[in-house]
Parts: sequence; C-alpha cells; structure tokens
Amino acid sequence: MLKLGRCVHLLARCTNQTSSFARTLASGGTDITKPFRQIRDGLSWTIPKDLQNSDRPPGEVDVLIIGGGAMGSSIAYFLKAARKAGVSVAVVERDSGYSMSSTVLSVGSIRQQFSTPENIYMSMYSAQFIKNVQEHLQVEGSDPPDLQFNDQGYLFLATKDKEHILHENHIIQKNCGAKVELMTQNQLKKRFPWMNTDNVTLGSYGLENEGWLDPWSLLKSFKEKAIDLGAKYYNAEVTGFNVVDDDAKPIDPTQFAPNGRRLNSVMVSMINSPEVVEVKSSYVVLTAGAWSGQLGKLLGIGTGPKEENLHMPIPVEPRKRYVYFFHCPEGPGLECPLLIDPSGSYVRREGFGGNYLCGKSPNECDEPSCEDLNVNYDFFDTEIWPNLAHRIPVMEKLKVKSAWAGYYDYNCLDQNAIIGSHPAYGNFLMATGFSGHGIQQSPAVGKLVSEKILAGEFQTIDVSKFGFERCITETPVLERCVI
Amino acid sequence: MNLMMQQGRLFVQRTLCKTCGMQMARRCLVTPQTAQVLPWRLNNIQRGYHNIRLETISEVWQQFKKEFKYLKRASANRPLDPKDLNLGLEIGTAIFLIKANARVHFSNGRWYGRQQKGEKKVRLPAEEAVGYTVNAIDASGTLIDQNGFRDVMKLTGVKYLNIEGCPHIDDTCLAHLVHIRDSLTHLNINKCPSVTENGVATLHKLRKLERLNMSDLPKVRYSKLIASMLEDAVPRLRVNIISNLVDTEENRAKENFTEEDLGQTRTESV
Repeated sequence: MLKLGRCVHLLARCTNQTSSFARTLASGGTDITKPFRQIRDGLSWTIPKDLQNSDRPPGEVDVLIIGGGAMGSSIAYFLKAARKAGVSVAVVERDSGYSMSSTVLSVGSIRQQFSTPENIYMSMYSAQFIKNVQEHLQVEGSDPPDLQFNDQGYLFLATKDKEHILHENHIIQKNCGAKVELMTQNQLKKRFPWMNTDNVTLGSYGLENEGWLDPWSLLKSFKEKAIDLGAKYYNAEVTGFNVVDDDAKPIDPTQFAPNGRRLNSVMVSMINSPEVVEVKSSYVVLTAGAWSGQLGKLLGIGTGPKEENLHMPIPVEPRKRYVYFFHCPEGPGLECPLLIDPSGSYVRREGFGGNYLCGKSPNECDEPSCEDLNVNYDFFDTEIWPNLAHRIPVMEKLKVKSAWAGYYDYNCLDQNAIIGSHPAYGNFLMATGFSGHGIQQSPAVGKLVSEKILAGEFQTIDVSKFGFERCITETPVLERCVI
Repeated sequence: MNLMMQQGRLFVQRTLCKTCGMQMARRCLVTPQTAQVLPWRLNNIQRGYHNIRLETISEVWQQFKKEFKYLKRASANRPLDPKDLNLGLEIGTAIFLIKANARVHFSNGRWYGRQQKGEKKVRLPAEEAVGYTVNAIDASGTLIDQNGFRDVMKLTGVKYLNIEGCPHIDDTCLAHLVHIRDSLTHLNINKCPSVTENGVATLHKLRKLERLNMSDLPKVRYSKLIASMLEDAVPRLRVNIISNLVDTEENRAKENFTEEDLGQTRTESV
C-alpha cells in the first residue's frame, strides 16, 4: 500500500499539481477528513498555496465582514450554517483581544419590553436561539457552550406621569406574544417587599425570555462555530474602499434604488506592518459597532453629493457608559430582577454572593468623553447611589468593588438599529447603531443579514423599517423604552 | 538497530501520534545510561490499512446510536394530537404525558399511566376523566424536554410535579414553570443532570411553592446556599436538602397524592 501511495505522489508531481487527496494517500493517510474540510472552507480554491495558512486575507472573498464582535460573528455563523461550502466568509477584526469591543464590556441583558414590534420579534428570536444554543453552536469534540442565561426578567417602574407609556407598550408587547405582566403599586409592594414603592404607580415585569447572559461566551461560541464551519478571522484593519461605477446611471435619489455603483474591493492593512492587502469581495457588511460612522466616511458616506444619497453620514458614534460592580450583603438576593428605576438607573444581581451590577445612561448634556475607557466613580456617588438607596433602602449600605466602562454604538437619530444596504452602494450592508441592545438582537440580526445576502430579502422578520433610508429622510423610528 | 544487543528494560506504550492521531506503539528502552524513545507503528498500520475500516464502523455505530437517541427524544416530544385535544386541553395533555411514559392524577382521585417501571404503555380511558382537571404529574425518568414541557405548562391547576431524573429537563424548562406559578405547591427535581444553578434561581417566581426536592443535581454548585436563599425568598417553602421530612412527604405524595396528603403537609409546615 505504501508503494501505491508513492506512485500516486510521483504521478501528481509529474503533472505539476499536488491534489490534496494524493498527498493524503502518499503521506500514509494521515487525516482523511482534511480534503473535505478544505473543500468546505470555500477559500482554498482562491488562495495561492503559499498564502494558505498565513494571516493575510485572500485576494478574493465572497462576503467580507468588518468587525468581529457579536454581530459580525453571528452573521458569519449564519452565512456558513446556511451554505457550508458555497460562501467564503472573511471577518476582519483589528482588536484580537476585544479590549474595547462593546460586546465583551456589556452587561449582557435581553428583554422583550420594547415599543417597536420589530425589536420585540428580534429579541424573541434571539431568546429562542439562546435557549437552544447547544443544538446550534456546539462544535464537535468540545464542550457544549454554556451561556449562563438567567431567566429572571426585567422590571420597569413608572411614575404617574409616565404610566400611559407603559400601558401602551404593554399592549404592543402582548400583541407580539411577549409574556409580560403589569403590576399595580400594591402588587409590587407585596411581591417585592424590599422595594420602596413611594411614587411608583405601575410596574411591568417580564415573565419569560428576559434576563441576562454572559456576552463573552456568546461571542466565543459564535466565533468558534463560525471558524469550525469555515469562516476565517483576520487580525487587520480596514483602511479604504475601492468603488466601481462603470454602470452608474443618474437616478432619482428619493426612490432609494441602487444606481449600479458597487464596492469593488476593500483595502485591508495588517496590524503592525505597512502591508496593505486588496480584498475583492461581492458583499461587504459593516458591523464595526461604535466606529461605524468613522468607517462610513472612508466610503464617502457623509461627504458625497446629495443626488447620490451620500450626503448623510452613518449616524453612529461611540458613547461611553459606566457599569459598577458592588457588594450589598443585605440586598434583595434571588428575587432581584433587572430593576429599572424611573430615573433611568438599573441594577441586577450578579452571582449568588450578594453582588450586583448597576449603571445609568447620563443626560445628553453630561455625556462623558470617549477618548478612553477610564471610569468616573463620582458618577456613581452623585447619580446612581441616591436613586438606588431611595428605591431599595437596604442598598444604602454597599461597597463598590470594581467598575468598567464600555461604548454604546449610539444611533444619534433614534437609538434603534440600522440594518440593511446603503442606497448608493448595492453590495454594502450595515448592521450597527444598536445603542445598548445589540447583544440581545445579535442572533436575529445574523439570521436577517444572512437572508438578505443569500435570498435578497428579509424572510424571518421584516426589518425594512430599520433601513438606512430613514437616516436620509431623517424620519426617526423612536423607541420609548431606552435604557 | 538491534535492541537485543543493548541492555536495559523495554517498555511498550500504546499512544496516539501527535500529528495524525492514529494509534501507534512507542518502544522505550531504558538503559542505565540513556532513555531512548523509538516510535514504531502497530502491525496493522505498518501494512497501510491504518485501522480505518474498524474505526469507520465504530464511528458509524456511534452515529447510529446518537441518531436513535435523538429519535426517541423527538418522538416523546411530538406536538399534541388535535384529535386528543377535541376532548379538552386536560385530556389531550394527559394523553401526551401518558404516551411519554408519565403518570397523571386527575381531580377525580385516580392515577393514570404506567403503574410499575417497565410496564407496557397504557391508554388513558378518556371517558372517565372528562370534566376533571389534572392535579398531579409524575414524569420521573421520561424524555420530556423544553418543547414537550411547553405544552404541559398550558395546564392550570397542577399542584404536584415530579420531574426527577429527566435527562433533558434544563434551565429553560424550570423557567417555563412560571406559567403554573399560581397552583404549584410540590416540585421534585432530584437528579436532573442538565439543571444548573441559574435554573434553580428562577424558582423564586413560584410563590405558592411549599416543598422542593433538589438533591443530587450534579451541575448545581453551592446547592445548599441557593436552597437557603430560596427559602428566604418564597414564603412557606421547605427544601429537602436543608429541612427534614420533605423527602418522606414526597414519597407519600408520589404514591397516593390525595388532598389529605397536601392538607397534612400544610399544617406541618406552620
């Protein structure tokens, strides 16, 4: 048998092509699944042999995803899960340690209590995905993913003047099928005796599919499963785009129809090296989180003429938010849901040792600067602690153990997602601007963007309301339940 | 190399090759002066067959066993038959549970379902039970998972639920229990291998719960801590790992489950 293998090897060398199967036989049958895995990758036909195992992205790829956080990894996973061998996916992430990524710094909560039906449906889909994550994201040969999903529920509190908003939202949520119950002041007092219900007249408590999870495990599971299915991650940065407008024709900008101009290739510059690789791709998906607005400017979105719908920039910018981790031994314990005060502060239990996480979105005028991720502990003392102590009297005695800061990819227009293609470029898709509720929508967004690429339209949930067109016409889709 | 000429002891280890994962034997010759490791392939591999055929057969058999297990689980959690639901939600769900090898107790005082372990599957005599509600469910050792459980949670009025030893009951199922929070008083989740502490922590939503059995949960860390936190949160709750008599009450309820059984436990708790 060894002799046969050697013959095949010599034959292959004669014809100047070493097929991987022949190599497998010649070396004595080392790994019988390797050629099948290479076929499934989809990239081995396009990458020259000397670049096959390198860190450089290939010259051609089907879908290039900019940004490898929860959104990018989810889109990569869904694309590969739908078409194992037919789509080559490359994810470009410049921060391999994810030190500033919104995904890993987030509190990782999921809720159904929105006021826009599309948001509610996306969260419900994601909750179903997370509950069945072992079937979807288990890589053969490793441990099943454990997302530590705590199904504890959100509790939104409202004072007398904001009561009607909660009522209206409740009707929308019930119509969409979310399991939420309204509680009066007396019911709140009876159910949560540790809470001070002085000026609170109504509470909205989520019964199912609401709670918190570990966002780092979610990202890791998506990334590992996407890599196992054949997507490739590259530690590099996107620094430019090349546009082809041979077929461009003048259009009516109010119709938002693509005019034939397409993105041809993306200039990807390697980290710590002057090398720049030009990657030709059929589709480019922008999921760069807080830095999406900046990257859009490289494409001319925001600096172009109005006739080509390029005058409005992507309205996404980073906003810094603080999260504080404190210990309160006499606190509410197991019963503590993710409590949201009428003032905007939120608090939730973390673990079983009497520890809690809290935070608050500051007012528009007090936004901290986004140059670095340093924490301002005075913000806790002045803005959060008084509200917490007023709402939960036992939390007058607590000790802040640590804190961190992360960026919201804040949509300045209406704090809702931007999902869809850009009107000027037919093959440039965006999934950004989640403004603090990205993690809970990442599985749904992954599914929807993969459908948009593979089938041309959204099939699971119709999120055309969240397209980029509303940014151009400046018609916000306001979300009333923003934390 | 003639090993017979060198003095020393010869060891043979069966290991896996680091590059290809195939089985190989290592001949280690330990002499007083040196320790030599000579990689050598097993007889079969040397001939070029690489044990592929044997491994393929065993892989195929493993795959077959996995598929069969999945099939059994899927058949236990089929959607409810519309024909059974004609007689009412209670009867339809009871038929589903009995097909999945559980026992159901109606408010007419009778248990329906398998009487002993290993008995052939029985049918529910639907005419007897029309108009009564399901009071107690003993689904220990069944293959119910979150899809089937969701159908079971549409019942209202279930007071006693026993899901001891079910391999597919996990945190999402315990979170689904919130739908019967108004009526559930006795819950038994002993020995469920997929339940973690996050699932047990959602049991505080069951405000009427009086007895909880949660011993032998392999994935739950700090179970006594969580049990004491649950006892603080839920009024009138006693958990078997930190209170006495909960296990004997459970055995009594599992056998008989009469209203008197429940009444007795309620007076004892005060």
